[in-house]
Amino acid sequence: MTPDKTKALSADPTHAMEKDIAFKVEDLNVYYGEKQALKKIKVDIPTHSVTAIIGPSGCGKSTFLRCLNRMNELLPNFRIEGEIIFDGQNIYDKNVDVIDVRQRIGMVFQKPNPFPKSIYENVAYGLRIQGIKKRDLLDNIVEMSLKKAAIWDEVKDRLAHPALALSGGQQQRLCIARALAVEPEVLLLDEPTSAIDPIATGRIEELLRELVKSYTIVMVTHNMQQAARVSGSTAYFLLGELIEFDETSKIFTNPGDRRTEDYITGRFG
Amino acid sequence: MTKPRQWIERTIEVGLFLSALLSVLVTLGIVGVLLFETVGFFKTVPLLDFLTDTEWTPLFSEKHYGILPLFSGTFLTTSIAMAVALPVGLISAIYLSEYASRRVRTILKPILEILAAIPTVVYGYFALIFVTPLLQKVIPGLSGFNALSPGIVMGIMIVPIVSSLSEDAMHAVPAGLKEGGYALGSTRLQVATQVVLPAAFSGVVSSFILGISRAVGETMIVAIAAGLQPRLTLNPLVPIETVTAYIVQVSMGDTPTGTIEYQTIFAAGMSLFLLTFVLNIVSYLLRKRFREVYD
Repeated sequence: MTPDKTKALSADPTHAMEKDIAFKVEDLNVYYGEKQALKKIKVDIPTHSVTAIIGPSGCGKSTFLRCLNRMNELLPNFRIEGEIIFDGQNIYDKNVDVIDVRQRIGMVFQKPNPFPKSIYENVAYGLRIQGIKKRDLLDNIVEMSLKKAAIWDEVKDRLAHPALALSGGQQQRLCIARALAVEPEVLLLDEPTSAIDPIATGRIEELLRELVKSYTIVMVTHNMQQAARVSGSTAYFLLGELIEFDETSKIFTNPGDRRTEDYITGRFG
Repeated sequence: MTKPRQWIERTIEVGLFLSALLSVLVTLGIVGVLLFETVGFFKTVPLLDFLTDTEWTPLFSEKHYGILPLFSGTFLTTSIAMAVALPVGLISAIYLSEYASRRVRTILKPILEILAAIPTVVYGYFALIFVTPLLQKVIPGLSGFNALSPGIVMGIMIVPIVSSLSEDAMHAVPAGLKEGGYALGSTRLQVATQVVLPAAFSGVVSSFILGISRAVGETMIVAIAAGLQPRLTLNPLVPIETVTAYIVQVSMGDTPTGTIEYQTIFAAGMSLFLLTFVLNIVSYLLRKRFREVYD
């Protein structure tokens, strides 16, 4: 480990410009019962960047995203082949604790899903289940997380109020704060703005541009403009296959595959 | 052409209304009779005696009309029953809703619900001739009639009420909430106890209160296995009598209509009615207060 690190540090600057890899996905096949949902996916997802996953409904975008923090295991009849290497280890390895994976790789869902608790308790939840009880430590992390999620100013005077009383956009930012509170390295977002209004969407996109400085972000989106606005690289999925993966600017201006072009130019999808 | 059809529709509507009215009228009738006889009772017995006297001996020559011994009996058996039904029912509900596979659930839930279909008289004899002797081996001081054994058996009878209704409430918690819990690194137990349970709180509390109402109103088990001795005590090892068991005792006997002995059962019945009525209101208020609305 140590020699590698020194090597990396002393590597020549041009090489250091290349982005580090957060997830190395190798030959990923996913099945729900008999149906194959993902076919031979092979992709390297860069760190400290927003990676957008686009594609028509039912193409396996969400399935792929949910593989990255092992959320798919909750579904019956789910089966997976291949490897997802995160931090030097296959997260599907038998020795890997799924709880640990999900703490390091946070997730925000399509529909805001705050718990029926207070705003404060929502953010503190992930810490409490880790056994953190110290009030001042909790207070600190809750405040920091809410600030990072750009919702602190709106809720600081009513932390004890029920989270369900917030607006949809606020709830979604609260869910981001809740995910950030456990200090993950990666944030997975599954169409995070599809259930909220355009102004709230704008705020969340702004937030993502800020968060990408410290986190690796992978986001499924239905909205191609959104992918173009916030992401550094884009993956295009079709019928369970990864058709193309490249820098977002390239995908949207000069796609390498005809099917990608058809999709982004709106010929179908 | 349309006339006869309109007539048929009208007749159906009236018929349905009368059916609905019937149950309302019966309820009003029952409350009316209860009230009438209870008023008669309190013309003889001062309310204060009824509420504070510590003995209940209307069938003896030296008469006392204190409801407290009967209430303590009901309280005792109900508490024991809920001490069994609450944890067992809740744990079963958590297992069925959060741990069991769909297959296990479809088999287990109906079997559990069969417990509620066993006639209570069977439970009564089960308590008297099976559970009590069993308990006597562990607790030497236990009387043949006692509050403990019927309390436990009543608890077993109530388990499916608590588990089935709690499970329904927990099952209705949106999958998105559970996913939110798992995505933060929760274990299944943490999701069950800290996400699902609070979200299903109103339904779970309702199931508890329904269970309590059932225990308070249960008659056969306690009449058979708890003894028929009104006693102001919280000792579960000695014979006691509950409000319901007393009503059975007098109804079965040859008490003449219109006597004070006869009226006691209405006073006792009225107290019981008020108790379960209050429980229902509490349940309603709790449901309203803690209900989470998901769209």
